[in-house]
Amino acid sequence: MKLRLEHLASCFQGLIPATLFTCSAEGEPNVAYLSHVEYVDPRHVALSFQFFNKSRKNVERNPFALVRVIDPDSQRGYDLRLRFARSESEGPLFESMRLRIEAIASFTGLKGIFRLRAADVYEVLEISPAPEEPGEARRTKPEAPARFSLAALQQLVETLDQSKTLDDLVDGVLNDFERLFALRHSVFLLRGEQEGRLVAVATRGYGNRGVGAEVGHGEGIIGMAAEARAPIRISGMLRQMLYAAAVREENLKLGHDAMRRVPLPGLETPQSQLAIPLVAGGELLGVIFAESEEPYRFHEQDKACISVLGSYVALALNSLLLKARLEEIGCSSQSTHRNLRILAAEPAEGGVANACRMQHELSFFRSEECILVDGEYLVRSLPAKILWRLLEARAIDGRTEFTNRELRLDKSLALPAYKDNLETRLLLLRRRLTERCPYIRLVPRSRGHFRLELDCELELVEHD
Amino acid sequence: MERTDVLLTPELVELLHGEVSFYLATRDGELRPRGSRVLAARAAPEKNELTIFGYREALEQHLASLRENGRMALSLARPSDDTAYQLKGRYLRHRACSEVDRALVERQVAQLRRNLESIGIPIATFANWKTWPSLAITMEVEEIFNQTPGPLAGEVVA
Repeated sequence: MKLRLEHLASCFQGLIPATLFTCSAEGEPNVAYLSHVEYVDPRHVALSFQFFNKSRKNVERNPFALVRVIDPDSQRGYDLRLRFARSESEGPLFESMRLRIEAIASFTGLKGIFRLRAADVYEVLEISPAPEEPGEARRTKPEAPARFSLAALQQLVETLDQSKTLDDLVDGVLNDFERLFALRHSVFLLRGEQEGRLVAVATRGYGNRGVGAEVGHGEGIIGMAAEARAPIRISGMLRQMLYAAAVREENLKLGHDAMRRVPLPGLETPQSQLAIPLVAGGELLGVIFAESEEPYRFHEQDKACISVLGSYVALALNSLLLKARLEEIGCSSQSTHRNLRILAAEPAEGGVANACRMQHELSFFRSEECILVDGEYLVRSLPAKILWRLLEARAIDGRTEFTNRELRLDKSLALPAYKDNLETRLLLLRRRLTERCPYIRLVPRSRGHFRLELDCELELVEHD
Repeated sequence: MERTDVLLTPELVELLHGEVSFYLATRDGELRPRGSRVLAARAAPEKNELTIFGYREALEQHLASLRENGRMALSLARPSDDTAYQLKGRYLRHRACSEVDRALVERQVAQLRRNLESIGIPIATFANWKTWPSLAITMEVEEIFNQTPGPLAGEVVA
């Protein structure tokens, strides 16, 4: 059977580096390594133009080249005889390749140095097997069924449809990632308070860590997906080296205020990573991140499904946020007043008896807008101000019931008049409390209403 | 003009004899490049000569070009830290490999496989490389270039 480029799709996932052979116009052969060969169409591939100036100069004057690629499934080597066709420095092909390269480069702090200058497109003249790298005659294990299937997507949509709250949606999506796609390590990030930043509101597979971690646009695969508003898939065992080193480097950089920051969790040796931006109405709402120790986890044929998945989750998320906002606006002052009249300071339901309650110290650093509990960082910025306000009301007035509306109207919280992300901040606060201080709970009562429950005695200390 | 200075430093020789992945590049009379994996190398630094060893069926494909124009390039890269160089020079001679060569080839291939395994690529992944029978090709090294990924890639080091 004649070899066709479509048969070699797995060779183009960047799992095993390729090798490029060229020759100068003066007859001097040259070898260079490639991190990635991009499949363009059944007759073309693209190579990234970044560093290998000699190879580039060679093909500018002698268009013939040869690329050795390795199939990660069978370990078989293939030689692609190429002829340089054109160079693209803009357009969908260039952008797709640029995203992948910059996502990797940003982890090593080399963003801008490893930048893509152009996508060089080559016509594939001939494909032949490499005699010294015959690989395996047949796959040793049966091909795994595509996990990002339409059937799985349909089940995810049902989960989204059943989600009545932000908590339901966030937990439902990450649970489905594990149930439907066998992705046990994932993070759900939402738009942060500051422009250009995301905050993790839920994680799976990292031992209940990571809620509150922040990622800036352009930082790593998550930040790159947010910046580009496009999904990014990365496969490749060699990539783990870059990530591990970069994660260590980043942690060292953050060491000076590590107590006030939550590190983003991650696998020590990831083999595959995926980041899906959630964009609705042209607006970035968040990013879903997943990784696996299985190499080559995200296949080329998963691309369309991943893109649709991101759109569905974004629409569902946007709908929930809008709904919450509209229902709040529709609440009458009469109903708010009634809730406040009913409320009275009551012991937490099912909580610990007073005599057995632990004592904790909660410190609010007003100038830094940061809360520590027993000296350990809990939250900062708006979630910190909200929590302090609630606890103050509990301590002074004995209040236990609160509404989102009153938080919005509270000028001391300085919420923006438009797109205040209050629901996201409350979700983050609830998750951080669950993770760090389970004896303090914000329990939803109905849409826009929640109760503050304590299973402890709290000493509140305010610092300037 | 014949070079008299030694290009193959002790450090480079140690790398050449160690845990590295090699590729050979040649070109035909129409300037079309050809490439193959190389399995092992042995340096004779006092003569600026390097003998490379590879699967015979693969390296034989280069002989016609080497006899015709003599130009060859050899890349080497250590997978665990991406340290890489490219050696360019001219073909001198070739020969069939002996059992002594075979032991050398298998030893160096085993070293490379261990290095790949150290970064998470299991040995079984590359267990099917064809290593024997092998062919030995000797070149005179004329230039050495840095090929470690980064802004200095392509610079002449010797």
